[in-house]
Amino acid sequence: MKYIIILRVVIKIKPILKPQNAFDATKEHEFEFSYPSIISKSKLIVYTNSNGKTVYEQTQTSSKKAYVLPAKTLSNGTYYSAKIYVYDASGKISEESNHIDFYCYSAPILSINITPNQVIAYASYLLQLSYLQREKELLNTYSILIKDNNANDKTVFDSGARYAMQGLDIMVTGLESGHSYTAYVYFDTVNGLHAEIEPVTFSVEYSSPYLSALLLGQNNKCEGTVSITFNIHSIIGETENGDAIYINGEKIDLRNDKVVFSEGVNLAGDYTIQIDCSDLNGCTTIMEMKNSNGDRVTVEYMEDTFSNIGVKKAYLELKAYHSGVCYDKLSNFIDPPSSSQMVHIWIRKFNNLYDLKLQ
Amino acid sequence: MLFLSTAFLGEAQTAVPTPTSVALINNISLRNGIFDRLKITNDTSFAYTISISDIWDMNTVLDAKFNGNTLAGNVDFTADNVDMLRLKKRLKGTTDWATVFEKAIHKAADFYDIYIDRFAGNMRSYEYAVVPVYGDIEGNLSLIEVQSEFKGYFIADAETIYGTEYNVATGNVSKNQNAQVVNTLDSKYPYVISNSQNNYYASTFAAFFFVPSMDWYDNTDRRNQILEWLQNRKAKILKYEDGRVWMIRVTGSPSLSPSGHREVPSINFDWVEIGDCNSTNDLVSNGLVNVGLEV
Repeated sequence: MKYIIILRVVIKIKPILKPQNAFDATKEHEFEFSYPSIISKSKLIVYTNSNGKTVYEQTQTSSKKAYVLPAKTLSNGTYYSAKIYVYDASGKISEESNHIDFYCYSAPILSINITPNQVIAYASYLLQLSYLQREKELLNTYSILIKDNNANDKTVFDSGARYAMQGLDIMVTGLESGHSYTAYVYFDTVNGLHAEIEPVTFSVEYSSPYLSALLLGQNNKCEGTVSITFNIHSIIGETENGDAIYINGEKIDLRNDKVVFSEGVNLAGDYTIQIDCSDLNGCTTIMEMKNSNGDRVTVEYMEDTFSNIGVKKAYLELKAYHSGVCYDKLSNFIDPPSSSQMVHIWIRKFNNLYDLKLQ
Repeated sequence: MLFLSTAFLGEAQTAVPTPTSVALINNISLRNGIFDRLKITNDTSFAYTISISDIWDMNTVLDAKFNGNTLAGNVDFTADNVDMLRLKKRLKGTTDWATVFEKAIHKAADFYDIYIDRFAGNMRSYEYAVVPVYGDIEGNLSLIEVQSEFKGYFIADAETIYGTEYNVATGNVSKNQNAQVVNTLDSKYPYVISNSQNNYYASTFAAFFFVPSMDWYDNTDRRNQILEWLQNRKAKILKYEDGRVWMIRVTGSPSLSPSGHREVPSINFDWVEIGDCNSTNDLVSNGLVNVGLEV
């Protein structure tokens, strides 16, 4: 005798509702779920986690495996739970899904200390972020990405995930003049609320008047090397009377003062000196150059009336003192300039001979 | 004194040094007037002119414009407000800078230096940027572009570089990864497991290291130096004429092998890539540049 045993296994399939990070209840939110067959409708039930009171129960007709919770359905600052049912193509309801818990929080108020289209005048910039959240949800991590719009949006700075306890300031370095950048800032709270600042595009412009002068590069073909020479001259003059007097921010008034350049000055060999000046005090030393041995070169501005021509003339007298001996050289003669008239002084030392001009 | 009928050394100051040779001036002052501009250059080739060039070149010594300050250099920072100069480098067309040189600044003279880049690849354009550093803050970049060109093959570390063009034999350059083939009983094909992140080059290199201007004995000494240097267990940069550059360690035992001529044995060694020669951190951690690690 033969028996035929028919085993009918009924497998109850239930939808799986994906875990939810905290979200802002004032905006619509999508609850994703999975279910291994076609669906026609889904029903979401949301209840308050603390007392189990149902606050939302609606069915949506859609074959999409995501339930869109309308904006302002829930309240921010509340801890909720949710479950979902789905209906198959024949309209048969599924088993109840798993339960998930989540928070609703107000969108944080975020800011960054850079405004759209701002022009930054430095290669470095201290980005300062701020985070405020009404329900006092704590910030967990944040990250900053900066992309170079001049380099196919290549990321030039990536802070990685930084914990809020490290502070909300990040120094960004290496920004290049003439480049446009876009900053992206992302925040994540301890309960998974994700927020981001609207991407901010800014540009960097700083003046490098001596762009090619600070470095000098040379390829050394035979040595297989490149030599980079630092051609940086940092020289600042010091005035004898403290604060210098400037005229219209373009000239320095040294009629009763003196400016000395020493730190960083190293003048050797032949040279050319050009000076634009005015209102020189007559018969005084206007320039002095010294070395460590006590040798010096002075330039005096003279105004004299010459007896043979009976006319007052202005001229320069250069004196070079070396080992106790003085070498003297006069410039050409000009009519004495008025106090407002600009004069040009030219001094050239070439093979230990001086050329001196006043115009 | 009469000498050959002339009054040789006859005047009181005949034998004194040339009075005009006041050399190495390091202190310049102006006074008794209103000054708009002071420019000093070592260039004596240009004709007299009353116009003053704004260009700062290698001959320029000082240029004070007195625009509300007494700055007379080519930068607006001084040794008092800069802690360090940083030199960065990158391959032209890329965006990532590698810091290759840093120098602490204590006085104005510290601003002068020369950096020798031994790691630049052949027929590659590099951008170099100098950046003043104030505490942890970098100032603005000033950059130049230099085309690196050379003939032959070079191997270098931070202080030394050796090159050769002679009898170079480069082996197969293999790109290595770590993968295990697992054959199973129930499948026609095996599984390949490659959990490791390994991804590096390795090869062999052989060449005459020979300087034609040196004699046999000096070349022998030089080859011994090179062998000792190859054996020093430190990272090196290997540069091929075709533009490839690797950060390597010599593996195995470098050797000298006869090449048919007693004066030019070939130096042979195996190598393996150990880092990215464009990464500051790799350069620093392998002792090829002496700068702080980037965070």
